[in-house]
Amino acid sequence: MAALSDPGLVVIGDSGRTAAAIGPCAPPPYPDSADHELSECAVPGAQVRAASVRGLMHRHKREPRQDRFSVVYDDATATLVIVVCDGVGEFALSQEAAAFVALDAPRAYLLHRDWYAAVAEVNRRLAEVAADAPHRTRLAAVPDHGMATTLAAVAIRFTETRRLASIAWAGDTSVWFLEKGGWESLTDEKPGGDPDAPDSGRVQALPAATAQPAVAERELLDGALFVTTDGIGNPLRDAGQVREALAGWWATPPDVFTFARQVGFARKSHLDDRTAVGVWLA
Amino acid sequence: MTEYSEDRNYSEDRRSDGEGQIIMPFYLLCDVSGSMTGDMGELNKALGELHQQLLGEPIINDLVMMSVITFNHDARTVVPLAAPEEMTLPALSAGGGTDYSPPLREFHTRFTADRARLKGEGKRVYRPCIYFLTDGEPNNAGYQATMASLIAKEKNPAYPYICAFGFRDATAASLQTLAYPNFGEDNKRGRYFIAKDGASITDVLRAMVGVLARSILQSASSASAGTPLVAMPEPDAVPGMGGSFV
Repeated sequence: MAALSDPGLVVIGDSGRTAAAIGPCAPPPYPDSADHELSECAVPGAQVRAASVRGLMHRHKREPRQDRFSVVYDDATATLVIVVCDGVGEFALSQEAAAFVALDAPRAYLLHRDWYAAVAEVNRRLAEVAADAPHRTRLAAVPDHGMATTLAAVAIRFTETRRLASIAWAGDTSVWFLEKGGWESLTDEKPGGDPDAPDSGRVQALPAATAQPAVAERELLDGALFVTTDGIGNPLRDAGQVREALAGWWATPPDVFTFARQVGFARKSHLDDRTAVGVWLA
Repeated sequence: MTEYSEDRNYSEDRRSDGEGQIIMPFYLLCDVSGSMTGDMGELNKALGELHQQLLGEPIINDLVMMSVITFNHDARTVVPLAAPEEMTLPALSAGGGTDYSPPLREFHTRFTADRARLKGEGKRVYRPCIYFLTDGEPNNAGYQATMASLIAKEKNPAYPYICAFGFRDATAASLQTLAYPNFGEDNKRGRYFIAKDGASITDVLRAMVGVLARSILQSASSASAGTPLVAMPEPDAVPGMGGSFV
């Protein structure tokens, strides 16, 4: 008879005290919001693993996971579309905004084949969803009906000889490429503002009066591409330990359950939701 | 437990472990002038209870650092900025006059150095918060120039949030010049608290402990919600004290 090994915590560096102190908690009053969400698929030219993990702070505060993702493959055009959204935590219904954008952005991209047009349309539709929020019925009363989300989206077009990525982002949801040389941010924006000002978590988000996503095109060589919320992107950007650990773990596609445990790694003060969608190019 | 580690020396490990860590810095500025002499036992006890409450919250230990600065006519840092589990509280004693300028200058000097050190370790340092506790009026108005030159938003991008608590001879007029800043929204306005007539110092200090611990926990809880905010106590949060917005 096979035995299950103790899953334990996956830790990078100092785990802090919160990860060990907060395990599974009471569910939030949103039946459509699973604590964790996983997906894996294979398409011609790539393997995909996706995991979204409810953060320790949301578990502690009995709030839902506000990250969402979607993975779509269009057979007719050999295009893989990945969308990752991070609901803005200061609003009670941001998981609804994140879920709507993750749901609608692939359709809009495949219709327009242009991220500017796609994000503009999704932004308009999200504004309608937000305006209607007070009128929808829910299991429990909510403190406010505000909602907003960041977005990072990638469309990879596979041809016989090339993999072309079109990338769009709004806010601090990010896209990374991992190859033998290490990690490269594909959504790096030049630092701005006053260097003496404190660090801050403020971000651009949708819906906005005018959605202005950043867009980049990139030919992908051998390696793996990751679309992440800031729960992964921030420690990946700031900590060498995290870059080294994830580069080692994700050099090849792990099984999806291992991938999910790795996405939920413990590290002191990093208590936010975590989402990563990885695309390993064949 | 799956751990990622490599052979490194201790100092390299410390830096690597701290890279990217979020820090919410809190500074408690405590009046220990001569008029506090009879209250020092209660003040020391209250600080000890606050420390214990902070230690009991894993989230606070992972996100918050605290420092204690005492002042009379002078000021000194008696607890350097550290996580609650790394703090050692000394027994405080009272004496001297009351001047608000020295603790504000000490805060500014210390926070500037603390921030540089923590940023040098690769940490992310959020806007600091001061809890200012006094039992008396300052013996001069020089602190207002200190506020304007070293603390206020106009001259200091890393300006702190300040929540002032006063009892005995402290006046609302002085406290409201400290409560800072006012961002114009109800949940972000500066505020101060002053003891109600007849409230005992013991009861006020005891009530403040719970309020400060809750305020720090709520602030820490916002740190990974996208927009970290210092959660100031509500005006009616401290039994025995009346709170007011600036």
